[in-house]
Amino acid sequence: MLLVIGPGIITSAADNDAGGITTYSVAGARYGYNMLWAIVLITFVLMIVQEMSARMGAVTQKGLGELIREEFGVSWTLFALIILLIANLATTIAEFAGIAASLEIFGITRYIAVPAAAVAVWFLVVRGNYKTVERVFLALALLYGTYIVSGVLAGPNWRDVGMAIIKPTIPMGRELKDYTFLLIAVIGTTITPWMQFFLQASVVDKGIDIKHYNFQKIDVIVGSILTDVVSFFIIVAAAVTIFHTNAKISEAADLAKALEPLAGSLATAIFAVGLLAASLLAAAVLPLSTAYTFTEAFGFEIGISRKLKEAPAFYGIYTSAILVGAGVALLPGFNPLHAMVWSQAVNGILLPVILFFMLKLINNRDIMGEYVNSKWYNAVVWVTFASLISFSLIVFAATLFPSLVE
Amino acid sequence: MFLSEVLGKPVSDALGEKIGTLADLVVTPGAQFPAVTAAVVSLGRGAVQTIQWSQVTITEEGGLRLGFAKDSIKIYQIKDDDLLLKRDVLDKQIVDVHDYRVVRVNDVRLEESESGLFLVGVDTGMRGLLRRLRLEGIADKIARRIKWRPHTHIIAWSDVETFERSEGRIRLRVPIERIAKLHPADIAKIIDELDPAQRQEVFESLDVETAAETLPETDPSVQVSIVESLDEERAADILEEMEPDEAADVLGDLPADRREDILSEMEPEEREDVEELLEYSDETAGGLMTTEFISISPDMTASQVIQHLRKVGPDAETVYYIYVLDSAERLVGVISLRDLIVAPPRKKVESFMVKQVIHVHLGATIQEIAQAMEDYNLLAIPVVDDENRMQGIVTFDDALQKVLPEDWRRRIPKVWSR
Repeated sequence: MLLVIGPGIITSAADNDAGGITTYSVAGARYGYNMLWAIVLITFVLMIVQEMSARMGAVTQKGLGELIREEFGVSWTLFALIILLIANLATTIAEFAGIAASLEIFGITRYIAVPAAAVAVWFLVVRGNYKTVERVFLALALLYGTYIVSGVLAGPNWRDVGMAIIKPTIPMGRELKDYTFLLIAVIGTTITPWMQFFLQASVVDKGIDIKHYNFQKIDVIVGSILTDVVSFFIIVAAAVTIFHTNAKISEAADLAKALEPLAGSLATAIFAVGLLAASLLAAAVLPLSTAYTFTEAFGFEIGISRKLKEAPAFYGIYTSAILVGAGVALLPGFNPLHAMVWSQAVNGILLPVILFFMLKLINNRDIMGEYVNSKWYNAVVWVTFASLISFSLIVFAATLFPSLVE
Repeated sequence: MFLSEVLGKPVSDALGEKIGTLADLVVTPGAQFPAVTAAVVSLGRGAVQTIQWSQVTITEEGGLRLGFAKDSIKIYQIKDDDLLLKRDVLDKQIVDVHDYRVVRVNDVRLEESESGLFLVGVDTGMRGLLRRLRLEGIADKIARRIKWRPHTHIIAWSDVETFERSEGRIRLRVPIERIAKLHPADIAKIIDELDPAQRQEVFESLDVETAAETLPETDPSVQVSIVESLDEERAADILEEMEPDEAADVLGDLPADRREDILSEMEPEEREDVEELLEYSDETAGGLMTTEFISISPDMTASQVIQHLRKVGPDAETVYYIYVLDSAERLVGVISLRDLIVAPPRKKVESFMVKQVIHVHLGATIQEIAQAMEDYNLLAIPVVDDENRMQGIVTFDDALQKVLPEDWRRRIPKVWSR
């Protein structure tokens, strides 16, 4: 079975992390079925963007960071990677928030849970084995598959669900800002900057070339659909169990309600375990991926066996990312639930930058030859690019000048 | 002078009128330190003109000045094997043949002399990066306080191999003579660090013998990807040339159908050796051993054995131990090279061989093998089956490779590396 499962499915499986589960749950809990239209559209965009990453990897056999460096030089690479760094740090904070939230459900204070997790995650780099990581990602994807069952068992009114997709009602006035912000978070958690780097690297690493690309394309499409089917049902389950019952959500544990139709009284425990595992894994993978992207693009420490002393930049970035993630999660007054949604919004706000670089690279015939983007592909990504920027502008404007939306 | 210091600088004609900015420099490779032959000038709005270098002088401000008015410029035709420093070298990966590494170019070092401008090397150091970011000055100020100096690391152009990119395909720009002349272990080090396409390119340019010596030295995952990319015939040729145990290691990691395809292309004799080894687990004596060892019968004389050695010695994995087998291939004794040389020529092997041979069984673990080799100070240990029939030997270096802790760099998946 593992032969059929390629980088596309793995990347998509990794996509449903602490930030993802929380953001979708909050979307369902606050707006019911209202955001489902976005999930349907995002699925198409996700497929296209992931396909672009995979195609770039297969044609050039190089990572995204390397391509940016070779095409745009040092300054733009630094810019792109700082954007990636900010997005990844935000997500790392979200992962530690997930660790804090899940262990608090079991009554363990975050002042113990977070530092312990940080140490554990740091050592994972030494013991890391990618095969294991892949399997855990897939196992988690199956675990989150329970949301599909829970969503169906919750007994949603399918007519309402259909109507919400075909005829979305976008709240105006004061609600617009919060709605748009959550919309950015939903986009940002589904299509993340780091996934593009991760997927392209996996394709290169697996030695998939353009001759074998058709399988890869299917893999990416299947992965995108699977991950968004889960997202869809998380929203449905949360809508029925939380939104329709007028339940309050003040902390992450409240989101476990969405699993009650399936798991009953075990819902909270299952929710916590899933959240913990996803958070721990992503909290290790993200800083690692960040550190590697930096060291490779800038050529630090290439060609030496990477022992601690010989690779200060690599370990510096890796360690700092964990320290920042864990450190922020320990700040007094830190709210894990808010942090998880916020971090995904940061990803959504920064995504256009990475999309821009991807579009520039993939339409360059010197790099891609005949495999440049088709017109309608470009159109979809440019529309996404423009929408994300306008959404961000709406939120900024509404925050700075509240009178605009009164 | 560095490339980054002249790129983007204004280019003006003899009358001082600005015609554009410097976009790239052209060199024609071949010489140890090739001369700049032309300048690519960006005229604005995407238009470029390539001007012969002989008409250009570098001004004190770092700009370029032409010796002619702009309407009498001599155009240079870029040839296929010309190297454009920005397009092909700057920010690209190169092979440092001197230190057997793959590095990324942060800047390009040029040297002016009376006869022209010459490409002397590439800067791969931190200082090159800072210069590109225009942070060199600030960094120096900070550096003075914390006693850290960002270093310049120049690799002489004569030690550099570049890759050419043409529509996603990587091609080595010059024949890789310099890489092919390195020790196979060093070639392997370079290959480990290359992108899959570059790796394939380098590997395919090696002759079969060098390829056979290089392949076992590369990282196991790299071995698989290389063999996957070769056509069956060439893969078979290379594997035949390798020691059977190493060939079996490589084949053992391949998908079964691919393995069968390659095996069927191999010569029957080599194929049998390899197929036999493939049946054993990697972690036991059976999987670690090679079937190539020197065996003799007990009734041979010392001088006959020496003659036999002259014949088979050049190809054998080790000649330090000569194993004595009876007619049923049972291990009955061993003599060392020293025993053989000091023995009188007419003396029969059975009269001076060591009869208590330290050996292991096919299923012995690596710990047992290593322990036995350490206890008895052996360079190789024979492996026998349940009937005491000799199957092969495990050499010191093969055992050592398994016992040493794996370089953890190799355990970190490369997928996180880009």
